[in-house]
Amino acid sequence: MDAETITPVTTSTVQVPIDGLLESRTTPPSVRRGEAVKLGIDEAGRGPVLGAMTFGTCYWSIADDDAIEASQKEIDDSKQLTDEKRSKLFDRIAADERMGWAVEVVSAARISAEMLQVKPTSLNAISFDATCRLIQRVLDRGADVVEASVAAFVDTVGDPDSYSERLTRAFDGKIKFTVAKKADALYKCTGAASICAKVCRDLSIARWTYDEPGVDDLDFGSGYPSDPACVAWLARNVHGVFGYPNFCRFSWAPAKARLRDTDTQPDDLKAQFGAVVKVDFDAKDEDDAAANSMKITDWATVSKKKQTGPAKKKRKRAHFYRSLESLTELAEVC
Amino acid sequence: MFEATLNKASTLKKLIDAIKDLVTDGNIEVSETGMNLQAMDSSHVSLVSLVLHTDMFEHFRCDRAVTLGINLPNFAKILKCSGNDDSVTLKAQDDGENLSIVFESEGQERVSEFELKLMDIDAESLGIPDQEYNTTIKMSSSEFQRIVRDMTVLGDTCSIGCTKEGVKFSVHGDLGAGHITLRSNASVDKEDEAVEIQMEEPVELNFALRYLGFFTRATPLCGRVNISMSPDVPIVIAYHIGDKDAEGAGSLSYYLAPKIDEE
Repeated sequence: MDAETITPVTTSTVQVPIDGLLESRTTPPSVRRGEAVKLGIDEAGRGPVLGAMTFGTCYWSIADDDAIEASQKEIDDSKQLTDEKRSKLFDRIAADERMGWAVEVVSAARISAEMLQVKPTSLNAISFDATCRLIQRVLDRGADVVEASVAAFVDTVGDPDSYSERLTRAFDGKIKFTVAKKADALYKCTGAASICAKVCRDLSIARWTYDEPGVDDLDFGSGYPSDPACVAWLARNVHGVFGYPNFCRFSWAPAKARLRDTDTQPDDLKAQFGAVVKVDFDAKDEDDAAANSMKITDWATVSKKKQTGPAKKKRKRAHFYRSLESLTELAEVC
Repeated sequence: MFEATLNKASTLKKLIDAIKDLVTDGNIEVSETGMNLQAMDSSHVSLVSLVLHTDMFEHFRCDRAVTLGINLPNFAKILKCSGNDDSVTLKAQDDGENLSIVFESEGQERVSEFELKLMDIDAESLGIPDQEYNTTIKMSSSEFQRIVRDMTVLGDTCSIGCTKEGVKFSVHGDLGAGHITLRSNASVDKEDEAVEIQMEEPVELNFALRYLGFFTRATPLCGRVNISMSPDVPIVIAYHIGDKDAEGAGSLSYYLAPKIDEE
C-alpha cells in the first residue's frame, strides 16, 4: 500500500456510517514497521437522548511522539475547541501520515436495543465493549500497542483504577492502561481521539436522514435532554405506535417517561401522547409452562352450552370489561 | 330465585382465592343439588372443578337452575371484606344482573351487603370422563405444597413417579436437579401426615410446576390432598371441603394434563 496515492479524508468528505467502524485509510508506516505504539481513546455523545454515541481512538509510534507533540500543538480536549477549529484539526490528523485513527459509531437504535433487552446491557458495558473493539482493531492492523490512555467519565464508569484493571485484563496485561477523567486534556493522543470522536458524532447528527417515512424534523438542538429544542422535538415526534424514530435512544429516561406516563403530561401535549398505547404481551412463562403439554380438551369432551329460555339481560363479557350497558328502551337514548 | 347461606364466609373466601389466579372468569352453575363451577385456564392445560352440595349450606333454596357468570378476582375482593367468623348469604334473581352477597357477624350486630355485577360468559362445558385411576396417593396438603415449592426452585417441570416403595418427585433444571421421595406410611402419630398409596402398576408423568403451584393455593381448605394418576391422562389433585373425610359435602379438584415427551 502506497500512502502517497491515497487521499486522506477530510471533514467534508468523510462518510460517517449510521452504525459501525470508520477508520483511517492507511496505517502509519512507523506503526507498520512494528515500532511500539501509544494510543488514546475518548468518547462523545454520552449524554444526549438523540443520535449515536461515538468512540474515537488515535495512535502513533512512541518514537514519533516528540515530533507530533511539536507539530500538533493545538490538539487539546475537544470540548475546549470551537466546531470550526475541531474540524480543521480533524483534517490535520487525517492528513498526518504518522497518525492513525478509528471511530466506532454506536447508533441510537443499537443503544436502545442493548439497554432494553430482557437482560439489559448498561451504557458502561457498551462503552467498555466499544473501547475493547477499537483497541483490538488497532492491534489487528499490526500495531504493537504498549501504552493506552483512556478518558473516562469517572463518575459514571466508576473507579478509574478498577476500570483500567479490567482493560488490562481484557488484553492479557500486554498494554499499560492509564484511565483518567481529564485524559483528553492530559495526553495528546487522547485529545486527538476526542477530536475524532466528537467530529464524527457532530457529522452524523448534522447529516442525519430519517429512515421513517414522513419524518424530517431536524430541529432538535444539541440533542441533550436539557435543551428546550430537544424537549420540543421529543414532544413533536412521538408516534402512537412506533414511539420515536430510530434517531432517539428509547432507553433514555426522558424518552421512556414520555412514552410511559401520558397522564402526567401537560394538557397541550396530551393530545400527542393520548395516542401512545401501552401493550401488555401475554406472559411468556405461561406459554412456556403449557408447552409440550397435552390439552385438557384432548381428554374431556367439549360441548357448547345450550342457550335456554329467553335472551339474557346480562352484559356480554366485552361490555363488562368496557363498562358498557345495553340500552333497550329508546327513551333512554333520547 | 336462588339463596344460599354458608356458616363460614372464610370457606368461600379460601375457595375463590384458590381458583382466581388460575381462572379469571367462570360460570357458577346453581341447581337444586348445589353449586358447581368448572373452568379451564387460558392455555387449556388445566381444569378446575368445584362442587358444593346442598348439605354444606345452612340454608339452600334454588327454584330454578341459574348460571352466575362471575369475574373471580372481583368476587375475591368482595369476599375479603368478610369478618373472620361471619356467615355469608348469596342471593340472585333468575336472570338477574347482580349477585348479592351478605355478610353477618356471629351475633348479627354487623350486616354488610355487597353486589357483584354478573356477566354472560360463553364458556364451553366439559364432560369429564369417568376415569379409572390406577394410582391414588393421599398425603398431607401442606407437605405437597412444600414439595411443589421446593421443586419450583430448580425447574419448570416436575416428574411425579409412583412405585410400591413410595412416591418420587423429581425436577431437572439449569442449576441442577432435585428429588424428593415419600415412603408409604400409614402408621405415623399424626393422622394428617400419613402417606397412603394405592397402586396397581408403577406410573410416572411430567407436569408443569407453574400449574401445580396454582393448585396448592387450595392448601388452607383441607389438611389432606388426594392425588390420582394414570398413564396419559390428566392428574387429579383433589381437596375435600369441610369435613376432610366426608366426600359428600364438597370438593375442589384440579386436573392437569401431563407433558408429552419431546422425542
